[in-house]
Amino acid sequence: MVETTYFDNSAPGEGWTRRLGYDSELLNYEDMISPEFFELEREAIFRPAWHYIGRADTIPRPGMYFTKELEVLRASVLATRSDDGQVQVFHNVCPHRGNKLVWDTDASQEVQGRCKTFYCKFHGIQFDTTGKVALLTEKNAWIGSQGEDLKLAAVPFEVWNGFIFVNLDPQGPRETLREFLGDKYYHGFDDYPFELCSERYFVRMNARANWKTMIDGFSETYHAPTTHAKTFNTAPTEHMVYGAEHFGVEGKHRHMVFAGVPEDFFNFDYERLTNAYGTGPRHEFPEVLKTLPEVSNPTGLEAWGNSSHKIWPNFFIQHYHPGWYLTYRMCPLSYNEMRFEVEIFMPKPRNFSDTLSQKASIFMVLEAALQDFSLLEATQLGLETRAFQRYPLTDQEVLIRAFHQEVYKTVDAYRKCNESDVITSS
Amino acid sequence: MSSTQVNQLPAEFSELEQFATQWANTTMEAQYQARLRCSIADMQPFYEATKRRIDDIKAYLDGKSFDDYTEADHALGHLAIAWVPVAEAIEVFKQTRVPDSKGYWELVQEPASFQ
Repeated sequence: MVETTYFDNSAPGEGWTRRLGYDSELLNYEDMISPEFFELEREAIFRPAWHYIGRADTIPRPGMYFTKELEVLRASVLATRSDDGQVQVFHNVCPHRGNKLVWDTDASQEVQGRCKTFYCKFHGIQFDTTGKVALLTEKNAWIGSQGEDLKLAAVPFEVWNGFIFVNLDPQGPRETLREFLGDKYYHGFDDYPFELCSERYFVRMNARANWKTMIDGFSETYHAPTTHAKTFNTAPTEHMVYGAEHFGVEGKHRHMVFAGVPEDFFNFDYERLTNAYGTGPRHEFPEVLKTLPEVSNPTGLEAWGNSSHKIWPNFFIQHYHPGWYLTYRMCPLSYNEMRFEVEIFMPKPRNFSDTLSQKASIFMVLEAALQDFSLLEATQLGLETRAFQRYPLTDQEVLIRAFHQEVYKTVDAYRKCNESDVITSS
Repeated sequence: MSSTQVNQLPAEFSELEQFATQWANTTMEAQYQARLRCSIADMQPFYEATKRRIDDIKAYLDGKSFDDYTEADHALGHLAIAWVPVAEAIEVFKQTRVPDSKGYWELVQEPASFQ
């Protein structure tokens, strides 16, 4: 077993929990096991929020499109690019009879492709990429102009550094994306060359666990030497060696910085031969690194390895050394079911060694995710027994505390405005 | 998506030819699935033979631009990538499946290799 001292997390004297202004009360996880609480979360948390649905550079040419399911809001959206080069986002619903418009084989599944018009499988009406009717079938049977007036329903969206965000509040967005993200995040990544990371891997997994179990799992790092003991060739010790270096809270959003491992550190032959490690490929991409934004490394950590930005409510952007990033989406399906979506973006390989290093590291990430997943389901099953009412958190778990407090606060505020039976945090 | 045709590797790597049909699949999804179908004992010969040549494969393919890859070069590259999950099972987990894990990920999209 390796006991590395490289991870020298230096918590402030008073601890992260106190520094960030939190108390040390035990935490109640009713918010993860109550079906009623989940129903409140739909409107309280997800309805007003902005939601990332995909990157604009995955639909670079006119007519390219993808659909995105947002089950928690019972929504399906269709993102496309019109002939004038603009991104367009619509509800993926036909305005004639209300059926889902773009799908293939299984109406519940997402699709992507390229077309001139969107063709309704029900009555053959076609819509162009601006949402207007391009071809009306049974033209003489329509009453007045009801047929020609059909139009796809536009969804409010904003594109931030290439990330398309939508807002599904029927009254319209309560705040702009800039207000939602806050200036620090909204401008914090302006210099990061996201577009250079054009190699996109999209991975999906389903878990029988509340969406917040995964957010909590990725809100601390010190589970790694236990959960991933074989992968990282480690064992848990009394001395914290896998703690994060820095925690921060920005409004509803949170972030965490983790140190990297030395370039020549490998546990296994296959890592050395592929020049990859569980935290990514090892080949250098200085054109990405040199523009690492301050928001990713707020303390200027020399041994910077990665930083995780947890955007409210369920979207993560994580930057890694030496210059790639990934996104997580924890998509709620019910109070104890979720779909986990990972998009990994890497720079274009220059040669086979780069390709091998990148794909090897992705296999490692996916293997690690499988280990995390079983733990999440075990967490859900354990919490649902209600064996304990309250649970302690360590100082390294301060972001879990911050997140659940924000969840309870948001749902309580919603409850106060809407009469209904609720579960409170107290 | 798994490829079942016999892939012909470059002549310099003829001793790996016997593994090409089973392992030189073109997607990571298929490469991982190939591992899940095997026991550790099944994979051991492929693991050992390929491990000895990984550095040679990198040197050989790095000498070419992706545009100049032949079909055999593609198969060789895929064989080396498919070796990764096999090596992980043998070196790390000592078993085919990840321990304490019954779930599975779906690799919905990955970039085309060697472009």
